[in-house]
Amino acid sequence: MLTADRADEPEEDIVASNPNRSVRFKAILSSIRSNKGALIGFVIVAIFIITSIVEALGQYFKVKVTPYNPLQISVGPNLAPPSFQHLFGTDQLGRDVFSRILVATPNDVGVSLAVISFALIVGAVVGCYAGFHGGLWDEALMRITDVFFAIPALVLAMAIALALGPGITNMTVALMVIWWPPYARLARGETLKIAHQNYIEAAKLSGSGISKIIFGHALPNIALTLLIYASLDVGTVILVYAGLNFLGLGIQPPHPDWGEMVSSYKDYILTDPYLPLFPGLIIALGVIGFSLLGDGLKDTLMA
Amino acid sequence: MNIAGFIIRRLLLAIFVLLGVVTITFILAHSIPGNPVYAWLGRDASAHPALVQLYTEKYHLNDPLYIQYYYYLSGLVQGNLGYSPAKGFIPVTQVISETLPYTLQIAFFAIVISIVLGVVLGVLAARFHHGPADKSIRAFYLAGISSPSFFIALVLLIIFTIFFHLLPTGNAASLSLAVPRAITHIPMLDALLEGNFTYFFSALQHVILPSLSLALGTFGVVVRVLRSSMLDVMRSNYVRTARAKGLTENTVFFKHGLRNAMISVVTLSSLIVTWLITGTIFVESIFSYPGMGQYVYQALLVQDYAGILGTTIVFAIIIILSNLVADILYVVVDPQIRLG
Repeated sequence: MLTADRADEPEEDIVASNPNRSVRFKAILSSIRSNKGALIGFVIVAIFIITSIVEALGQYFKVKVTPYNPLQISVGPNLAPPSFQHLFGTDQLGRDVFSRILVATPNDVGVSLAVISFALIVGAVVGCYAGFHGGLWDEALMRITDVFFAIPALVLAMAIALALGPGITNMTVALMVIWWPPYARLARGETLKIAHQNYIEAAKLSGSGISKIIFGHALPNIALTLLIYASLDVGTVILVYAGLNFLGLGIQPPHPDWGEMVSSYKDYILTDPYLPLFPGLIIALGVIGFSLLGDGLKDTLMA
Repeated sequence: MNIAGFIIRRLLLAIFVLLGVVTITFILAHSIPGNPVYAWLGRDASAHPALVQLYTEKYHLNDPLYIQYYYYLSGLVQGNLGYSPAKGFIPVTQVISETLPYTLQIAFFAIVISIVLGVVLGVLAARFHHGPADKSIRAFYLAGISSPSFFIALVLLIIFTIFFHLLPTGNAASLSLAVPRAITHIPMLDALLEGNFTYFFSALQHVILPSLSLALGTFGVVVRVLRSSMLDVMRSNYVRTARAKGLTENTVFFKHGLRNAMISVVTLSSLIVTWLITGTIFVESIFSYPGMGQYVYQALLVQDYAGILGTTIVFAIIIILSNLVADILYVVVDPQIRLG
């Protein structure tokens, strides 16, 4: 325990207790630079996010930002192996696989970040409220999260997606509905830790209402723990979302998605085994990027 | 509080959680728009309106939701999960009892592989931490943890069956072999009990790839936790005492370190079980393994309410039970933990 206490001190100095936010941010950036894994993760995540922004803007303004039209068939021979013309080859309809992977990026990255942001905000507020309020609210929240923990996220998302009908919006809603409970539980635990600290007691004594205490005092102090958990969790959303698309519940053909591509290309595995491998590798690469970055953040902020 | 009271309290909580699961999935499955009979009957529905009428009445589809819920719950208490349109209207309980044993086979081998692989690599990573072995192990498990199970399954399929023709591509055992007489209802166990080794080895060959696909996605969790708790334990006072007594580093590491670090692995079981269950849906479809995961996929395609609800409940029961077992094991292996 002694070593753990001592290790907490420098972090308090640099990050947590520094009132100047830009200095805090610079401290995080410099520690990422010194951690090789976090740096690799940062670069991968940056590539994915920049690609998504470029592709999303390209789709919005109808500018061509892929080598070929991802939906157009016969831009090359059917099932051509990877070459300089077609980086990842072409599929059974002669569509360019690389262009299809590129155009799917904003969906996968966007959905994951949207789901995580929603879960983070709702979970933090609900958990913090339950932590302070206690009693029936607290008990109800804990039992609800117990129920959600007993059903695998993918199975529950499947059931919700089935009820709402397939499609990218419904899928995002389904994931948002199931993703917040762990955050609420974490936020509740963290709130209980700080609930009797002097600054909270002081705020109570000075007559602040519960919402002022939550938003003004509690949330800023538990935010770091929640953000670290969230950064490690983005990859999980990507995996579950890819799984739902693999099952055909997400975006509908002819629009491509990574999971959907693996699913439809897997039938050509005997003749062209590389075909389903490229979209699968991209999913894995995205998840690796976010996990490395999350691990790095955890190491630098919690160490 | 004694251990029996603790178990009873956890069991009561588990029943409450299960009821919550049933309610959530029931409401969800029944909010699917449109009459599901059309999806169940396919082309026959438009040809025979009377049939649609008959099925709608038979399954109480026009009744208010709470009455359908009452029918469902009362059926559930009697062990009736409804009838599965995806399997020609045979009872869901029957489908589950036919498919679940296969899923348990895959899950059993997947757990064994991930724990063996996880413990061996976790110990190596902790023993040589910050060395090249540690780094390559980290890269290996990070790749496994980050890959969707369907991707791992496809990669294994390509390597082991398409390039090297080492292992079969699908099914639970060679189709020419008769399934052994049901004793425990788990085919591989039955084959062993019957002495039917041809079936057993065929089944073993068929189970390797699906289990390995699942295990490669989960063993990383074991490695990660074992490594870090091993490093914590090795810094503790009783390890220092053991070293001071003059024991060799290996004795200290395995006898004093590993035994205590293993406690943290026990708590992982629920996380691993959840991942495995999710994974079976993909892996069983890819290897056309006749388990419950494949049934979920089929039920999904035809909007089979009863099937999805039934399998979700079984999945939840498995997860709740594994949590319970993990909690109890945790108390048993670590006397420091207070019951509460």
